[in-house]
Amino acid sequence: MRLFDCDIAYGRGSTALPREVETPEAIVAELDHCGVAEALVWHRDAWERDFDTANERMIELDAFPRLHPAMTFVPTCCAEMPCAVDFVKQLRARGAQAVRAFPARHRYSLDPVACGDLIDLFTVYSVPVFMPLAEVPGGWEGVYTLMRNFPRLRLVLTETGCWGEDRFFRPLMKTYEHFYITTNRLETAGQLKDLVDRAGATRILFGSGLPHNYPGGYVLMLARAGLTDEARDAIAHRNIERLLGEVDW
Amino acid sequence: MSLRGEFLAGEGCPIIDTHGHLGPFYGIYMPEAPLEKMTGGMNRCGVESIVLSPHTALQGDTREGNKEMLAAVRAYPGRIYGYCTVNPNFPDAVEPELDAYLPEENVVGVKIHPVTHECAVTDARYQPMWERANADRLMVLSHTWGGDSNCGCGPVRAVAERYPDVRLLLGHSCYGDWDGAIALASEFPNVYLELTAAYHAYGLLERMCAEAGSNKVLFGTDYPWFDPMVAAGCVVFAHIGEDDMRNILYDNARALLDEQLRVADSPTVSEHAP
Repeated sequence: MRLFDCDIAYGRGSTALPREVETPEAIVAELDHCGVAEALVWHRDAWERDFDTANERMIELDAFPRLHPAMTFVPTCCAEMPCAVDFVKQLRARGAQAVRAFPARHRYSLDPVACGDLIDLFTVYSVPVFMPLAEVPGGWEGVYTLMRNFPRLRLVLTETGCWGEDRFFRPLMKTYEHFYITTNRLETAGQLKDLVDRAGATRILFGSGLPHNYPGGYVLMLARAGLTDEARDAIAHRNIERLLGEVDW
Repeated sequence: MSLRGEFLAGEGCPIIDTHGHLGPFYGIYMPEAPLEKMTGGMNRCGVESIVLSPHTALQGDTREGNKEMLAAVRAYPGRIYGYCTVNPNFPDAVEPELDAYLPEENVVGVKIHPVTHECAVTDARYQPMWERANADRLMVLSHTWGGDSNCGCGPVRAVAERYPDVRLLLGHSCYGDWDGAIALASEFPNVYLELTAAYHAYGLLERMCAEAGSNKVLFGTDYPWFDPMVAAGCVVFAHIGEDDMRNILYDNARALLDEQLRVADSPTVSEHAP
């Protein structure tokens, strides 16, 4: 089973984790341990310190062809960010095919007034935006508002909560063609099979949440969920590879 | 083939889940909540046995929940074991419930939830249960949570000291207070680290095994909440030895259950039978 993990962070934070993943080498070692081929990664400085430091630090990923950077954005209203067009140029220059947002932590709104210029361009270029549920102001109501405002946005919602959130995310999957979730916390017993049977496998991405979670947990869940090979492979790697491949520079 | 490889291939060693539930729950859709779906899920995951307390016993009328538990235990002997749930908010019912259920075959211990029932493990209303469990060397699975005034490491330490013969399973391993939980399991021979939810701390299993010993760590999932394959995957992909993995997945729980099943046959327990 080929695996592409779309939800990995690295770097040292302000609090110690039981097992740190501080460097690209450490990510690669865990990928090898779990049989994962590639990963989409972000630097923890994006959450701990500031987005720009994190984006700069990820230049080091150029030496690791299995690791792909997801750069972080904030609104373009201040001098800290270039205009939307220039930020997209930066993404293209860096070979970044995905972005991340932490609106709650970085204290901004996802309203079109604040982020419309960026999100509109991400939509035009089919750039997927990764966001943890806890970072969406207003929680699930905020996600619904975001999708109403940007119905063509490729939103990948991560860490959707340890209580099964199906009653929230299944209507979004049904309504919005480009709404995705990751396996990170998608772990109610039998949930994955039930979800795939009812909603298909195209909107679920293998993402572990390393260094907070053991990737192997989701590897085994996927292997033993009782899915068809086609559905399993879609979640394991095909969906994220398609998403990144659709970025249209 | 490695144990990890065996699990990926659909096999692996048997599993005993020491922290199970049963039935639907208000805030979550659980596809495998019904009993027949649970046993199907256990088959899918290679879970040989589970020890459970129904949601009704925790969140609703405990007496009804204990009846559900016994029905499940009787329907699947040896596959499903039961905890008799104690709700200290109805103290008059505590001892009658223990008297009614503990003598039943394959009812192997007691479940308490100090957060849901808003009652500290040290509260006097739990005392009859602790004394009974201590006298009979019963397994007691308590919900525990780091920093919680009802079931954090502080109050848990107090009952571990006071009742050294209770087989005290720290449900969720005092989630978040990992140092405290590991210290308890290291210090007290009767205290065990139960893993439900604790899988979401990458590297924690390695610490538990190194500091408390893999013989003090128990597999649990809150099933039908969490998929046993996620939990088992965390164990078999952890950076620990295969003997440690087998201890966690099966051997430790088997030893505890076997002890309980022997205790249940002893005259000490039968004295309490109604």
